[in-house]
Amino acid sequence: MIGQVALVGMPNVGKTALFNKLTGSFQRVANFPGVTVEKKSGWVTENGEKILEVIDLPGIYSLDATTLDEKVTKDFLLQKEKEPSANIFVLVLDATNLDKSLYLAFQLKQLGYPLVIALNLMDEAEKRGFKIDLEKLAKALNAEVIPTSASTGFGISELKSALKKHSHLEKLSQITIPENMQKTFRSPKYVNDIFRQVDLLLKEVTLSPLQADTLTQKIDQFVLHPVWGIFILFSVLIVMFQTLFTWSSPLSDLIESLFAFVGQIVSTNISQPLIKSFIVDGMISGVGGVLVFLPQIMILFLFTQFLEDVGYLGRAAYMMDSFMRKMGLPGKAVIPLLSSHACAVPGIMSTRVIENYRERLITMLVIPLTTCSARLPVYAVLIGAIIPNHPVFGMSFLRLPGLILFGLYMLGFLSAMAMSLIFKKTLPQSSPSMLLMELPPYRLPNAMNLFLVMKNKGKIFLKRAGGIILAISMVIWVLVTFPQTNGQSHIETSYAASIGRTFEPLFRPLGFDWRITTALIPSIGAREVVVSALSMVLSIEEGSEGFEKNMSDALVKQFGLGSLVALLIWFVFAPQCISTFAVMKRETNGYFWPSVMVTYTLGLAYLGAYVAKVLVNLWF
Amino acid sequence: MMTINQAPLLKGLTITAFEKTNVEDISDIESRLMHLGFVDGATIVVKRKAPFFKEPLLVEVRGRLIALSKAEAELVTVEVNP
Repeated sequence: MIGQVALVGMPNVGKTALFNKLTGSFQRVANFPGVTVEKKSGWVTENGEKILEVIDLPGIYSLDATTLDEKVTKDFLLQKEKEPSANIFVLVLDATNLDKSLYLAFQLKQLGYPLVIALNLMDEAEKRGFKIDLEKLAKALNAEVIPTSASTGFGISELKSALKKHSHLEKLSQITIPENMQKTFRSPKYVNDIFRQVDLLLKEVTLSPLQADTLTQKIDQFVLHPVWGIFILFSVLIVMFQTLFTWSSPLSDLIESLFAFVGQIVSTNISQPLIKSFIVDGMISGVGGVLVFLPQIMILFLFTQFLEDVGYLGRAAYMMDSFMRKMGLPGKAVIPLLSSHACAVPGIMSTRVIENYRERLITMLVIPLTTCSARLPVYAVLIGAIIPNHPVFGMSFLRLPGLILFGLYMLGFLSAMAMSLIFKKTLPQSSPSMLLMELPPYRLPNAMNLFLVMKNKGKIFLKRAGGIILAISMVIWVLVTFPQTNGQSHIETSYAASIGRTFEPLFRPLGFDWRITTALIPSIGAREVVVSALSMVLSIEEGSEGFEKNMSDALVKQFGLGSLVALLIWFVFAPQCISTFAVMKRETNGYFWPSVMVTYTLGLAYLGAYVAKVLVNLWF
Repeated sequence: MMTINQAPLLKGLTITAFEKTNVEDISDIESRLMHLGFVDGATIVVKRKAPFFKEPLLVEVRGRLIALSKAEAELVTVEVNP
């Protein structure tokens, strides 16, 4: 049994950077049991051998926990969880702001935790003229104090050896806190008392005072400026948006063509058509369909983590907060919501920046309504079929199809707003909705930190969502492939078609016949697949000469204007692809919320499509 | 008597009569405010207000910057330092 170390500290003290320095790449990310709060644990190694386990607890401001993250840490500290506690606690303090971070030190000391104190960001504090009497501080806090810098690695080996020394300590059996401690934690007298002790101690140990962080003040003059600040904010958001689309698509295309290439090699080597189809269309394209999300996920997290580490994420949220709250969402929802226009999967994963779980949940629930890039090929084919390429108001640069596409984006965005207001009114309130957010000083980001976040997010997606996505895409493969006639698969006679025919009466009010309902089944895997499925049921060979023209003509002739407009509106709201469903299952820890999401989007889609059909038939 | 929301920008302010004597009356938000350093007698400065709708407010307390919504800023009464 190796010793366990828990890292405790306030937010923005460089705790996670220290964790990364201690554990290197020997870490794993999971959820704390029963909640969707990230639990990072890792190992300190020596000569390739694991000698200590380290747990990175979510940051807390005090032991009077109010948010979900804080409660997790508090439960761990007070051993309310069945989890094994730690042999030794590392309290991470911010040397550039002991005013604030010593508060927690006094709280923990009072309760008698075996502490080792990492006085982090010491290099920065020293640069700003700060000198401190370490011995006095150690004596006052009754703990070993080790100055560290997670960015340069200074003091890390000293910290490691101190931990090794203490790791044999007996684990505290149940911290006994007095019965009325919970009350005491929020009594003004108690709080005032600790602050007084902090001030006294600081006066005593400070040898040379810290100079003010003028750099942060100077940068904020621009970054939070009413004009420049908004300009910077929109520039950052546009760059993020553009990056997600342009950087990730060559990588995604590369993955797609790689898998197509592998599929081709395999298919020339297998003669049995059914096995060939299973391996190529089922397995290889299924795995490719999972991996294709990785570039977007990793790029989005590289970007958001960069903003977070630099100190800008909170400022963007600050600038947008009042505006976003009008739509029922917190300021921090701006990044998940915008990035979902590229893809909902990384968007939903990035909602973890929102601390309040209820607000995070609302954001996740409405994200699928934003127009993700997978809808674009569907929109392109349908708009191409039904909307004439006429100029609007005689202006040659503004054409009707473009205007309609813009309208569809707006429809998605406005319904996301409306739904978030509805959810805000209806979902039960679990913890208080508050802003109360600290804006950290600007800091240089750490490349290792960024790399580890990207790696961990990619791993989580593959492990937690990849399996479901793969399983459902196999089921879909079975549905469109069987039963076979004369060893050939025809979508018209497949199980998918029987399901499509079964549900046809339900969709008749929308003007969908069995061919459309059948084509909708494979689109559950990925929306854009509906284009090739429609071409299959219409017996038009995809990629053949004049495909788009033939497809447009056939669509209008076979289904009629009303049904196509209804189908277009259907795709604004639903169906949610399985990948969205799978990440939502992982992020909410169960099937309930993803089911709510699927149900309400299907309802909206049905209603919207019906209204569209009726209106079109009235006017034309 | 004024709240943080009504207080002038960039002036030293002292918190008065924010704390409640009855611990049960202290809400989660008030508790968080206290632990961040909003206690009676503490000095704070309202640095700025965000461009849209004049909120959130940005307040400096115990050497750190805290963003507060209008509603949160209404909870704390202050006096302008002489």
